[in-house]
Parts: sequence; C-alpha cells; structure tokens
Amino acid sequence: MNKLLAFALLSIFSAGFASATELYGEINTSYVFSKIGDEKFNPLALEARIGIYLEQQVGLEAYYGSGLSDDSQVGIDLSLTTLAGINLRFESPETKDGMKIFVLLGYGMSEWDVDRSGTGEPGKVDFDDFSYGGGLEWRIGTSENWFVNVRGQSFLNKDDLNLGTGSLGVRYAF
Amino acid sequence: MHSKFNQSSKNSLFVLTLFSLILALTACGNTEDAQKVKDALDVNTLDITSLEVSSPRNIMEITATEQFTAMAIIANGTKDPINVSNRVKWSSSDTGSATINSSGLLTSKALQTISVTVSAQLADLTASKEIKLSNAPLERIDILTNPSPVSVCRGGYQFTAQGKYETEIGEPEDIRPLTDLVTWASGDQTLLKFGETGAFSTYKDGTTTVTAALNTIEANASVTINDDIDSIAITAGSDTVNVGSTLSFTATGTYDDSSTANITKNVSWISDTPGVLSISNDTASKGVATGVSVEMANISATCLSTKAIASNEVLISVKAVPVISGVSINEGTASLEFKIADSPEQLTARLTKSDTSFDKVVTDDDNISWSVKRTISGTALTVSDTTGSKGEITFNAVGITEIEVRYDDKDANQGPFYDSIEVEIVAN
Repeated sequence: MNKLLAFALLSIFSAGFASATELYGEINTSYVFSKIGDEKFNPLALEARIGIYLEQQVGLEAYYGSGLSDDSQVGIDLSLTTLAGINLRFESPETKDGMKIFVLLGYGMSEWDVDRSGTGEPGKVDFDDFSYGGGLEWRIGTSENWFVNVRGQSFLNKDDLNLGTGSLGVRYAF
Repeated sequence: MHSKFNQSSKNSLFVLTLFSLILALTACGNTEDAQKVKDALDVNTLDITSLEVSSPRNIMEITATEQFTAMAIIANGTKDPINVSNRVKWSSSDTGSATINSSGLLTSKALQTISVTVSAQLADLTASKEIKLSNAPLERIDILTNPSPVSVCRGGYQFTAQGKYETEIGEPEDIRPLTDLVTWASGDQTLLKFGETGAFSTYKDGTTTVTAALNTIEANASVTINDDIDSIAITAGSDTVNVGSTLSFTATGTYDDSSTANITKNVSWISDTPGVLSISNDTASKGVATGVSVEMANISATCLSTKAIASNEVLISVKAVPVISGVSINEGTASLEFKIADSPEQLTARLTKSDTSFDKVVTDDDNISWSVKRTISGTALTVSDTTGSKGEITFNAVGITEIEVRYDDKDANQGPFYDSIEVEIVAN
C-alpha cells in the first residue's frame, strides 16, 4: 500500500503540471480472470477511476476496485477484496465515428481473500506488479462528456499467478 | 501556443520519467503470499488430508545432524503418501538448540533444551515430531553386525554399529544406532574398501581389521576374506564398438557354494591391446571400455585372489565411426513395378552410412533433387522435384523409366551422392 500512496502523491504532484485541466471519472464492471497454477477463478469486480489529462491524449488515472462476487475451484474460494493502482493512459485521436483506442501502462496492487475448504487459510494475500492493457472507447451519441468503453488489463503475471480483467465502463469528462 | 505546447510536453515527459522511475524502484514480488496460495491449491488438488513427520532417531547428539522427512497423507491414507520434504516449511521450536534447513536436515548446536520439536507446515496443515538432544558422552561403540567371513571380489556386505552413552545411576541404558554416524575404515584397502555407511566390497583374500570411530571412541572387528571364487564370466552388450564410443562389460562370479554375484566393480579388467580398446579400472567407470583405434581386442577380467581366477575372453571389434556415404532410393530396391491405376506413387530417399546402415530420410530435403535419368522403354513417367512433393512419380502409360536421385549437402561436405531405380509401369 505504501507504493500506492507514492503513486497517489505522484498523481497530485502531476496534476500541477497538467497543461489541460480536463478531469474525468469512470465506473467499470469487470470480469476477473485470475489463475493460480492451472486453476482459473472468475469473480466479478467493480472499479472506479479518476483521471486527469496531462496532455491532450495522455492521461494519468488512479483506480480502486472491489470484488462483487467470489469463485471456487477445487475447494479453494477466492474473492478479490481490493484492486488499486495507477495508469498512464495514451489515447489515439478520435475518429469521425467518435471512437478512440487507448493503451494503459501502470502499476497495480491486488488483495485477495483465499479460503481453503472453509479453514479461512491462507486468508488475505496481496500482490503488486506492473500492469498494462488497452481498450476501445466510443462517444455516446453527440454527447460532449459521456463515453462508453471496453478495456482489458493485466494486473499480475508472476510466481505462477495471473490476474486480469475485462471491463465495460462509462466515462465522464468534466 | 507553441511555447505552451513545449512546456506541456516537457511537463508530461517529466511526469512520465518520474512515473517510470518510481515503478522501477518499487517493483518487487510478494513471493511468500504467492507460495501460500499455491500451497493451499496443492493441498486440495492432491487431496492431502494430513502430514506426518519422521526421523530415523528419537535422540541426537550435539553438533550432529538428523534428516527429517515430511509425508503427505493422501485421501485419509487411502492412496500412497507423497514425500513433501522439499515442499513444506520446516521449523525448529528452539533455534538456539537446533536449526533445520529447507530440506528438513536438523543440525543440533547447543544443549539449551532437552528436546526440540520439529514442525512441517504445508498451507494450514502441520505435523511435528519431538527429538531429544543429548550431550551425554559416548562410552563405547559396539559393532553389531560383522558379516565375516566373506567372499573375495564381492560387494554388498554391511557392517552396523551402535553406541552406548553414559547415563546417571538408576537411569535406563542409552543405546543409539551409530552405523550412519561413525567413520568406517579398512586396515588394508587392497583387501576391503568401504562405500557408504558401513557397506563394503572385497578385492583380495586375506584378513584385515575394520574400525568404526566417532570422535575419540572406536571399535575394531576382524574380517576374513575367503578365496572361494570358482569362476568369472564376463559379457558385453555388443561385439563391436566404434572408435570413441564406450561399451560396458559385466562380470559375474560363481562361488564355492554355487552362489553367483555381479562383481563388475570388484574385478580387475584387462585389455590385451589397450591401443585398440582400453578398459577402465577407475571406481566410477570400472568395466567400461572405450574404442581407441580400428582393430580387434580381447577383454578379460581377473579376481586378484590367491587362486587368481581369470575370466573368459571377449573379442571386440573396434570400428571406425560410420560416416554418410551415399543415398538410396526405397532403401536400396533395384526396381519397382506399378499398375497405371496406382498413379501417383511416392519414392523415398534415405542417406546411407559407411557401415551400410540407413540414416535419415531426405526425400523432400533441400539438398536433394529427383529426375528422370532415362526412358528404357514405352512412355516415360514423371517425377516431382518440387518441395512438398519431391519424389512423387506420376504415370498414365506403360513403360520402364530409370529415376535418379542426387544428394549434395555442401554445408556439411556430404555428397554429391547418386542412386537410381528402374520403375516399370504395367497395364491394370
């Protein structure tokens, strides 16, 4: 969590450099793809994001999410308690149809609650790793501020553990 | 506007650099948590219901080691247990008295407590065993098992030893197995040599003294090695070996009591022409011959006993390393016959070696080309030289055609080699 605090401070610090002061907020519902060894777990999660444009097509965003459901495999119950981190968001120019592509690069932290056969063990475990991803975004109708997007992002890929999400989100540019 | 853009770009670049720097500096793993999750998964995947910890002894000396073993009990013991000694997390209840490494090897350091409890943990499953520590002085060593008299040029013999430790008056005797702890020594290594932990082999007949020692205490035993070998028979896996290649020999001894034993490591091996075929008498590679030059050589073995029993001789032909020497169509077939209705047919090309054996199939190789050499009679068939279908012959009329294949691998300095085959096409 100390790392995330550093990132949060960096975000605030970065805001001071922003040439454009455009802020945005976003809500995502996410299907989680997590893998331990060969076993796959797919709980659901909800994420909130807040970002600021550093450049016209470069944003810095912080996110926080939490699990909406858990999933069980071979007697192991897994829920995602926290998903948090920070991304740099690089956007393409918007097409005539109002679509843009974006790429995400950042660092993320996830906290899992793992329960083996009702023993409560090993309990809460947390991991952090580089994260990356991308997605597509469309302007909703002729709205100035509202966008809908789909994104995929990998948050953890080491020690035989994987965590990623596929998300559907709505973004509002202030 | 221009200057604003530049300033903005610099700001972004600065933030991006700072961001990357922080990511690089803070990037680290959480391997311990990952291991916890994987252990939990393994326990359920393998259906591990409990753990058991064991060690050979229940009491150990100070500054000694004791190997602990952790076994996973599968499905409440309905399936074979699994050794998880290298997977569990080992711990000692008193690291001042004894420490344990990740493989379960306990090392006693000081007598701070009379015992330590060794625990093994895998996920939330744990098991433990208590082992007593003792600094009682060793009073004497007793050699328990002495297989003497033993046969000459034979292995598989075993000594065992135990130790009696000092106890207070009224306390029960403190006797502990010491076979693995004592140092075993032979009075005459030309007669008898020790392997691991009291196991020994013999090489000559006679009598020698064996010593088991721990610290300053030792025990002695006399071993008599009888010259009771009747015959030695040696065999090899092949009667040929290439220059530079090895060939293993086996020696079997027959004794007075009609028993037989593999004595490959106990005899002395002899080559009558070491310049052609050498044979090793080193401990690790005894009985392994190596081809040196092209010729024939005899191998024999002898037991260095008074009777000097020698084995039979085995004649080995040492050959040159075969090299690629040609190419052949359909493994040397001179001619083939097909009916018109059989079209198309596939011919196969293989490389051949100087020892007449076949090497790899090269039908569709880049270095091979197929062609019609000549039409002997009737209508010629066609042969493909196109990659993917090389060597495929197509025909629609009777006739006899000679097909040629050419192999030339300039990179490997192999070739050009040629072979041909007559293919006769007959009516259906």
